[in-house]
Amino acid sequence: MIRRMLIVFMMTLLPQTVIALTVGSKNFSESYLLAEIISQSLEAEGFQVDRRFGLGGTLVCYEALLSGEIDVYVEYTGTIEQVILKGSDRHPAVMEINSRLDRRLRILGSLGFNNTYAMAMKESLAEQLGITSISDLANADELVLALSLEFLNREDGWPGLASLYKLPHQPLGIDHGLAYQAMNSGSIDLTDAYSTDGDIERYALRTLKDDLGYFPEYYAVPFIRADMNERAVAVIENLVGLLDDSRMREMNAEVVVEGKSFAQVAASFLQSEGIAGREQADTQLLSNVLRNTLVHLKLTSIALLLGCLVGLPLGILAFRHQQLARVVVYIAGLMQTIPSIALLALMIPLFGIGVLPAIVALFLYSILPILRNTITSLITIDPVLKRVSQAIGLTGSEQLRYVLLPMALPGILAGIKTAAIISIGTATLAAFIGAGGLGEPIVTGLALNDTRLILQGAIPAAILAIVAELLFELLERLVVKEHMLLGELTS
Amino acid sequence: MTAIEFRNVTKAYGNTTVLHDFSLTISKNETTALVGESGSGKSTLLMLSNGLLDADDGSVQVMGEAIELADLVKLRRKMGYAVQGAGLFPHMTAAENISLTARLSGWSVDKIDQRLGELFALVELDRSCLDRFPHELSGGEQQRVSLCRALMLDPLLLLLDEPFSALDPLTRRSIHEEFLRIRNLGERSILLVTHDMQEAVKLAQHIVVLREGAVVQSGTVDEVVTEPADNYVRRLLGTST
Repeated sequence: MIRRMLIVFMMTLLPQTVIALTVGSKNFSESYLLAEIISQSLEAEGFQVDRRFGLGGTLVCYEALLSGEIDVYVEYTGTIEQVILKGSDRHPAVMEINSRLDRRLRILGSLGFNNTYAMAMKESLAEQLGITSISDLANADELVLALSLEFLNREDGWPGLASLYKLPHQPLGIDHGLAYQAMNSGSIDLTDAYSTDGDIERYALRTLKDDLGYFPEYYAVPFIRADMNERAVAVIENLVGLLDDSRMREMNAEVVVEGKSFAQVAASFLQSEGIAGREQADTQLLSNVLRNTLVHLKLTSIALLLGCLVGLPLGILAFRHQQLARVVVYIAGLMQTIPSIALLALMIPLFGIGVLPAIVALFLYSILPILRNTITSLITIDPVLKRVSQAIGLTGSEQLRYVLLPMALPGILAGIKTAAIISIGTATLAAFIGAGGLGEPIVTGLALNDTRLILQGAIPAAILAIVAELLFELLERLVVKEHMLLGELTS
Repeated sequence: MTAIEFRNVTKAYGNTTVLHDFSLTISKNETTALVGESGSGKSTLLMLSNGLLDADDGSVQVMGEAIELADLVKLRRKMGYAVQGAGLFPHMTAAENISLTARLSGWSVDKIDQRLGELFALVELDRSCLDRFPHELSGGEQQRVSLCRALMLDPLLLLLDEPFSALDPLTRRSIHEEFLRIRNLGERSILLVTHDMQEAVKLAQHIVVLREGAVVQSGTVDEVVTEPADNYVRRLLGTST
């Protein structure tokens, strides 16, 4: 009640309607933190901020910015130069980048720090082997390298590094969030790190000297839409130059080592800079989990419903025509072979980011089990019974309604159940494209190396899958006669 | 009068021609048995009679209607149909199996109930079977339910595709008695497909012996029994080995 009055009171103070902005971030800790800093400084100036954090990678963020799904996120100059502009300048200037960017977008001045790549290994191991620079690695081919997938594959990453330093290693791919733990447990020796990583202090790592000057500059810059509200641009520009390398590394460590929330660290930074940072009330664990679970349920149930609306009629139409049935199942099967994260990424140019593309992707996944089970269950009904249903004078739709569908029902339900459980699992990846749900704590937890946070998503997701399984069993008992489940047909 | 007339019918499955330029007339209001070994074309003829199969060439007339022009759903409801192994729908009780077409034809509950009573009395089924599912019935009970389903709408024509073949000899004998009662009940044309000549002799009034898609002999039961046309018929009768 009091809160509502306060809101009404605040609304009357605002000169005009509230401007809403969407702030994005990539799926690693520093990007979350910078996005939170930008969000809070915008909120302090009365903007309404929609946070779309943890988007899965550079292209997802770029596409989201281009399509206007988000208004701003923090990118790095080297990444823009090489990944987005496909250039090779190792020291790209802001002006120069802006002149080559899509006219709808631009970058502001650097926030101050250069977060370039670094090769990191355990201090103790480096000491023991006497390794201080990347050049030293050429003679240490027994070391196990595991690199983040992005670094492993991009031009300015491993391929160029290996050829310049003549490195003989065959690196593995690993999620960046997991690399430190793997290194700590001794299963890998070396990974790529960001020079401002808080984890470097946390795990007592040594960053190797880039003695040949391979890594380009990666200054952090706010990447915005050119048509952004001018007052908002001014607010963000206030942040330019405030963060140097060590400040950033400290703040990162506060999050990953001390376990403070992004909101906390961002707020205390803004306060120390005299920009009134407003820390969001720490929401309760339970209400967080509940909110994510509800979003998750929404994603999966809408996708499942659509899957049924398309899969069931399509299956019923197709089963009488063997060729058509084969083609339809083949196409649906093809869809299933696309890795879920790739399918989600493919959705972005078509549907942007957020809930819609996630639902579309989950829907595409749910079609196959529903369609295939519907078709097989209908096709495998005893041909004698099909013939009888025709011969006693049932119309096509009466055959379906009174004989074929009731007999196929157990199989069809099993298909829907499979689709539901696949959806619940796959939906955890939807957080990469900003759809929220139980994947959100998982993605954030991976970025922070925070097992507790990962479990906050993983446990409810597993429970959801079990509950779905039980509910479908119950439904089966309610709508299917027992002897049909046991498969006791007429002898 | 004729119940079914096949005129110059040709029917092939892929490269195998089952019937070639085949003609036959089935008389009305009597029971005709189509007897032959497998591959003789007897089941094909039955399925041509209710439009489950289409003739490649020639025409099939059922109760005066050309089957290729007929409204098949309407026509089939005038023809009862029963198959080997009963072919009951496993998710429906006996009563639901029997009354399905009656319900779809808009019969009242009372009328259905009355008819079920008549039919159960006719085939000597206990009323307790009504609410049982097929898997809870014996083979003989299932086949009796199947006959009831075929008779529910009091059809003018009954098509029976080896309905008694899967039953044990004892059950078969008792169900034969009930069949004869059905046969003598009123004016009804019955086409019975069987490979068992003894059964045909017992149940039919007219016998058509088929071999490889051709009529070997067609005549009354007496004619076939006393004057078999050739060794094939004799072998079927069991009078020659």
